[in-house]
Amino acid sequence: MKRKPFFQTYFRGVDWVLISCVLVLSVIGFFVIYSATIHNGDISQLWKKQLFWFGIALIAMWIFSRIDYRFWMEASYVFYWVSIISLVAVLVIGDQTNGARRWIKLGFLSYQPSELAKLSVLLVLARYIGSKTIELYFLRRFFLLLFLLVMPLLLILKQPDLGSALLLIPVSFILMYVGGIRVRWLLWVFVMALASTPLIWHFLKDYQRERLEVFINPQDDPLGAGYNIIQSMIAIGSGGISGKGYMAGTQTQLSFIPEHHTDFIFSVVGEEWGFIGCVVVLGLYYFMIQRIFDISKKARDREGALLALGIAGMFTVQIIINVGMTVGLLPVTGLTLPFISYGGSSLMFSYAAIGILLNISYANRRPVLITGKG
Amino acid sequence: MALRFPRGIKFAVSTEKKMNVLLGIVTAIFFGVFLKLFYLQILNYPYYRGLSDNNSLRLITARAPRGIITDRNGEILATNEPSYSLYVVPADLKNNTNSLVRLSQILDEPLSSLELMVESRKKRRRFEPIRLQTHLDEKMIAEIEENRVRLPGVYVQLEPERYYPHGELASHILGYIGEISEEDLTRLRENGYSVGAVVGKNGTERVYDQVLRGEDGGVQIEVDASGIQRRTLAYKKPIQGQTLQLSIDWKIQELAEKLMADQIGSVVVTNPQTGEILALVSHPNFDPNEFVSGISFKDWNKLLKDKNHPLENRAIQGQYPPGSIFKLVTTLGALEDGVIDFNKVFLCRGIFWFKTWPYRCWRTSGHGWVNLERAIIESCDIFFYQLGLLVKIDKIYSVAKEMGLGSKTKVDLDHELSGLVPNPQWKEATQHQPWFPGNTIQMSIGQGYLLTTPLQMLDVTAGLAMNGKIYKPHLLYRIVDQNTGRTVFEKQPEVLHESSVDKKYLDFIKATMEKVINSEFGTGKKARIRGVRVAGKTGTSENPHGDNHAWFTAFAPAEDPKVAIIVMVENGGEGGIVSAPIAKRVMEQTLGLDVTPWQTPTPVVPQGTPVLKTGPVMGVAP
Repeated sequence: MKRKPFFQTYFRGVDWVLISCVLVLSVIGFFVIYSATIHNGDISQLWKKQLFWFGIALIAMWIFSRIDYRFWMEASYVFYWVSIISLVAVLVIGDQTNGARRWIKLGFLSYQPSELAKLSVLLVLARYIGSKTIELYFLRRFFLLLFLLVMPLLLILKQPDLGSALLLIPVSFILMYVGGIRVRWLLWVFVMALASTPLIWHFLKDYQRERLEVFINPQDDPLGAGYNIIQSMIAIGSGGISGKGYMAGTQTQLSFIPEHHTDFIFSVVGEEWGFIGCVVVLGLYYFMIQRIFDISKKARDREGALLALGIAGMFTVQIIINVGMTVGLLPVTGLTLPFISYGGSSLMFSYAAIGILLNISYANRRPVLITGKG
Repeated sequence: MALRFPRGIKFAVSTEKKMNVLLGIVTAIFFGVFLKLFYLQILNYPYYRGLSDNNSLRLITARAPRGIITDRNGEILATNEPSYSLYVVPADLKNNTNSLVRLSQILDEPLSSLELMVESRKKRRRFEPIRLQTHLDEKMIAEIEENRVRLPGVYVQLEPERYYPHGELASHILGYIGEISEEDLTRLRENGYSVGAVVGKNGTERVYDQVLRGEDGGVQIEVDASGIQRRTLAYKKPIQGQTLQLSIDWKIQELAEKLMADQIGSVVVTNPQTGEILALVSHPNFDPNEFVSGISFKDWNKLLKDKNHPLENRAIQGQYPPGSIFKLVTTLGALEDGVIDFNKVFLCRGIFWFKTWPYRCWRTSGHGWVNLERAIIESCDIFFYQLGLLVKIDKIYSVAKEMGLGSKTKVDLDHELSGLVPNPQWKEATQHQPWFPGNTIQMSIGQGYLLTTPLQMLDVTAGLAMNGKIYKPHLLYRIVDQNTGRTVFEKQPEVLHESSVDKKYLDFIKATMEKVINSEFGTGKKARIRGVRVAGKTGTSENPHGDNHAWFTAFAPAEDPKVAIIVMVENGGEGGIVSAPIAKRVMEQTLGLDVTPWQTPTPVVPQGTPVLKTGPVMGVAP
């Protein structure tokens, strides 16, 4: 009986279904990473790091679940301008790799401003749309919204970080659509974007064009850029219904699949655990997305609802783009699979987002408004 | 219903409905992915399973031709020649042990050695082809083609092989190539190097490997379950590396190589105004062609065990006492220190007693009263012994360091050694003994602990020629793009050291160096060139393992130096007799003068070279 108050203080109102869902995904991810890396000399010890980050991420989730989400709403513009400044800074002083500037070195830490930018655009849009209702019917409000989106977007494309941009655009449009911007206007923007495609093509870097061309016809360059897609499809296809068995995927173990512990981890699932494994993972993701939609629907205010929806959108787009890439439906972009791919910052980011969601769902169930000290 | 809008505003679609629309879209996309998975994993399972099970995709690298290396005028020093190589995929051989037996008959190699090579790769990367042999002859290729069906997992590939048309000449500049080592692999993995890559192992081949190596292509082959090639899926064209143009002038290099043919030692020629190396010879040398297809264990051992160390680049790795050439540095140190002026005289009686230790001059009869100028021209040792007792070691040390001694010249070659300029702190730290006056005496004539490489001493000469400015020596002239013929990069001169020694002292030294060559009693008379003001200094450095090393260094023309040269002949005898004529010929070639006929120098060491059996040290130094 003594433990109950403790439990009630720190874990009351936690959405256990959502948590179990992401925990199962993480455990699956851990096993897949182990299989993909343990026989690969240089990276055979990565699973330990992943385990460490998993622990940190859980703590992050707990901390974020204890922070009232309205704090993020209040602070959204601060985050927004900080990320704009750091996006400009990265273009000037960032580290250059593969012709792209994405990282800022802060002592021994590297920091990728486009990660923060994604989050802060989400926050600022949720704030802006969430705090207004009827004003959204003014066209100039819509233009202001677009401006808030386009400024960081252009800076991200300049780096260039196509993956982050691809993530940001659909999420923003989902928020605007659900938030109550006229659908007609959104369609205009869409049509104009389509019309300017040739112009965008002109601004892409060579390797990005190559990726798109290869996506259209992977057999063109089976040794270079097309190699990834072909090998990934062979891996998944050869898994069959029940897979080749844990740690028994030849494509994986012989390193035919590149980046098989990060970007192409779904190929490993497909090869070793087969159709069944893929469907289970996709099912879990689907269930998780639905659950977040639920949280959004039940949120106590518009801002919370839109924030939850934005997070849902971000996970969804990331999952679809990543899985779509490994099965050959979408071009190669460097987006990881949330909760499963190897990577400390990706794991931290995902769990922090879950923490925010927990807080939104928690606030929703509480009868009384929290005043901060609650 | 959190997303409810204020009363009175009606929306066409409620927010809840909009979210359901979104969820519907997500459901549809997930279903699409599900269908694709169904298509891949259930409908097309046999096809993909086949591809992965029969290990049916093979990737055989089409190696990129390395970039060409030329001299400054376009003379080709390293190029490529087509050659047939034999590749095997270990995974496909496993099923057919017969193929190895058959291969060993065709290649006329013992079965055991083939098995060893294949076995070493069996655990990892079984599907990556390994190169078993290069330079297949026509008969072998014909036999392999005949047995095509009986030799699964065996491929013949036409590849560019490195070829050095001049053989052993300039081998230390060019270096050689070979399979990448574990150590280099960890260092270079980020730059796209992989296991089995062929890289430059030494010389410019190594330093400029990233320029030269180009980009490998490949052939993707589909094979059946028994490993027999079915069809070629794709071909990616390799891209040749860029052309490397060196600052070497082949005519000078060739002549210098010829003059050094019977000697052990080194010759380096630079343009002191830019630091461009015009010729760099280290003798004995080796034939880099031997390394191209993997040097045999026997040949490698022979090279390593050769007592003349042909692999050592003496110009940058040979560390010798510089002998009397160092007197130039001592002089500058003493003048800077202010302990003497141009008129200082000392008495040379052929032997100098410091307390109870005798120090001798190379001229046993002595030079009599000598002033500074004469001491340099005739290379009097005893003058410098007495000078060594006056001047502070720290001053000599700092001038020597300023001229780049004791530190690397930063020439664009790897494995350079930095030599040694001793000082009391160094001796204290390594020998646990104090610095004795005797050490300064030895050092003042370039003996004792002092060690320099020929290139360092050349830097000293070039620095004197340029009034204290030493340019970084370099071999790179420019990089030219193979395809467009455009110059991608052009090396600019870089100042490495700048000496703070007073200009009037430098002028004195330069004038005296001219007299070393041109005055009646000068030790460098044999380097005289008619109509050109040559300035130089000889050196004969003593070494405990045999005959003296013959040094000679010079620059010309003195009024506007176009060439600086160093000649070092190991155990050659006297610098003025052995090395100076070589320098003369090379300088003539460099300055474009008529070439005087070559006479073999008298190898006999002239009489009068003092050899003291007892006692701590003696000087030998014309």
